[in-house]
Amino acid sequence: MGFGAVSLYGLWAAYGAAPTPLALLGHTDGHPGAPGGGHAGHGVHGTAGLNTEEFQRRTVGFIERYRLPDGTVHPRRLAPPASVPTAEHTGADPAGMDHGGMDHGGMDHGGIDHGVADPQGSAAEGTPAEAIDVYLAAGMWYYLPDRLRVDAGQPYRFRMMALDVSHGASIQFGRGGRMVRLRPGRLTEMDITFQRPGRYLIYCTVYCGPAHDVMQATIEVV
Amino acid sequence: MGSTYKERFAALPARDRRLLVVMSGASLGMLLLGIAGGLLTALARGGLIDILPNTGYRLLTLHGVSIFFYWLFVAQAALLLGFAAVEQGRGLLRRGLAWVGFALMLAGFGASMAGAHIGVPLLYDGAPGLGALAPSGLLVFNLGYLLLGVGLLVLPAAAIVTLLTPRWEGRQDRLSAVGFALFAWAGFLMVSGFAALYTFLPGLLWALGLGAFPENHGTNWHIVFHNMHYLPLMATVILWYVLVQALTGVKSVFGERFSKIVFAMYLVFVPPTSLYHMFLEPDLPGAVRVTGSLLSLFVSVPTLTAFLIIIASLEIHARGQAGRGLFGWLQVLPWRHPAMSALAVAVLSMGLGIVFAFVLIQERLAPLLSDTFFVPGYFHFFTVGTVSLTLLAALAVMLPALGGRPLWRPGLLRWMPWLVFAGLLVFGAAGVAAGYLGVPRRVIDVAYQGQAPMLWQGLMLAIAIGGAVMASALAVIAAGVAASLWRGRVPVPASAGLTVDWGGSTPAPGVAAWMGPLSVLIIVAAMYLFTALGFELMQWLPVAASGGGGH
Repeated sequence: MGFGAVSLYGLWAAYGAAPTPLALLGHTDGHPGAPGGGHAGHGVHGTAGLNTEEFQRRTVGFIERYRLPDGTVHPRRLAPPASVPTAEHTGADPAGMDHGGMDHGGMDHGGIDHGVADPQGSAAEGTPAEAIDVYLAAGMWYYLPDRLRVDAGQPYRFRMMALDVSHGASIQFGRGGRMVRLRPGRLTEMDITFQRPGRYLIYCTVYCGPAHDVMQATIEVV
Repeated sequence: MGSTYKERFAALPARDRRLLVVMSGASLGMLLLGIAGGLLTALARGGLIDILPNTGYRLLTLHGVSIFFYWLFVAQAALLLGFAAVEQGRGLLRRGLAWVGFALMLAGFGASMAGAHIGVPLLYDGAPGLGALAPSGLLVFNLGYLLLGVGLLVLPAAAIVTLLTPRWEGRQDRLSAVGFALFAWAGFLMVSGFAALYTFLPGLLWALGLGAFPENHGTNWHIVFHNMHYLPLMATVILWYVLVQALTGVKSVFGERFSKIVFAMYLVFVPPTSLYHMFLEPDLPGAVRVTGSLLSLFVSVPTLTAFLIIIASLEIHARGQAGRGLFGWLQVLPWRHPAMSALAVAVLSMGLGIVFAFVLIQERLAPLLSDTFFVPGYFHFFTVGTVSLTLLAALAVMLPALGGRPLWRPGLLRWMPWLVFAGLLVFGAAGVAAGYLGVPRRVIDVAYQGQAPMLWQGLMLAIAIGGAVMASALAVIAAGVAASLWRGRVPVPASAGLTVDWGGSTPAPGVAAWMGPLSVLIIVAAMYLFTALGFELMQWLPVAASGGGGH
């Protein structure tokens, strides 16, 4: 009767999806990994209560900031302006788009802090693997943006929201996919690092009406 | 009262037989309609017919609603009433309640079918967000489920009164194992009816402008649907129990008390295990995910236990007749009766269904498999191979007996379950593979304007071919069973020679029954294999991802 509860544990532990017996006894740090992307926890970033209008505003700002001439949106570390206006200086909403789309790290400059304020504290300053925020809005039957370019090895924090009904924002990798559900008006965050260059499909995996079939976007990993 | 089920059905009052025949015929019609919808959907997904996606979603709605909600529950209701009527030998009591319940379910079916053709196709879960585009469609659609729910609250009351009246009158000390199982089954149908009301009433009130938007529909739906599709498994094992008696005369060698405990286990194990449907929900707290993962592993405990009881009892008696070796006893089973073939396929399908169910319900694999074609790939092993074939097997025993007519072409029908199984294996294998590769369910055209892997379309073609074989064979069985009701057919003598009677034989002491435990070992090994495959695939993905939770 209890085979299900007992027998699968060994397999989970072997794949790092559950703490090993030693870890349970406190002999190691016992931090289970997330094979290929489990539901490992992550911090809340002070964005609770973000509504669809505000999320749309941030998404539009994100697209404008990172849009390339061909229309692709390429979130990346931009060269700092001569004088960087911080949220404090401008009086902008500290959780606003100007932060959300901002390059958070100093990778291009050897990890040197740009001096850009990070009012949400979403990442430690100066760390080389600091995540860049990516905004993705899902509506009937589109994604905004619908063409993304990201850098392999660079951590990103995908901040996603369905604007009208429930949608999916799953990513197809050829031999498998990463399924994501989005509920209307609820911010969903996922930390993602793409490891290999390629062109991947973002597709809706939650039925959302007659044009559900064509709701898609593209991520190009360079 | 006769001693066999056949004799007991034949001896029922004409008014009872009329009710059971009408209900059974209606359920078979719903099944055939649902099969047609499913077949067209599969052909469209496979690129074999060209239809608009919106039409495809309407067909998928027709398929899901007709089969999941109406075929499964109207057939269950008919069989519950039928076996309750013969259990106490006095026919149905409170027959009027049964007619009212059935009429409500039939009205619900009409409303659901109308709702499926109004506004945006809602599939079978009726998400109110989609209904917001056309509230009148949601109103009619939900009204159908509400009528079904009320019907499920009313109709089983007739079975309960029929089963308990002898006790109330002091003519019976305790219910038999079958009587207890039927009583529990009736209760679960009523719980399902109440759950349907709880889930779909808010949407109806909102569509009427009388209530707030049902924000929690998704959560309620997952809980309700989990119970609505696992509780038919309880009906299935109850029917295995009585069908083995009907076909071979064999009863459980473990005694009636143990059987009652196993049937009662459904109440303990099924409702709390529903959390795994929500592992991808952004709002689900981490602690609930862990608890859900642990609880989910127990979802099949009662089904596997009942399976072990039935298989062991059958094997021990069969070994007393003839047959040597591990599989020799299988040769003496009454294979001439189509119900025996259907039961065998049901057991095999259940084994496969359990293997894949255990893979799907692991929280760590949810980001790979949830919302993919893995889900329909696995659940057709349950809904078609296990539950539908068992219900059809029971109808193949009950309906000819009610009408005093022979089963239509048993020589042909006995092969149909195996043809269903062949189609199911192709459908399921391609579906599970497609799921591992990320092919979404509930999408008519998976090409994504040429951006999806080419292999996806090939798998959809295999699913269409397997689905067509499965659907065609299932339709033949349904039509064949329905043909047994045909008034023009000539009645035959009671004994058609399709069954055996080992009920009077006593198993020899020390006879071993290995098939059941061996089957469970194979299920566990396969579960390991497919779980490992899932983890391997996740580790291969060129991405490191965490989170997915919402705020």
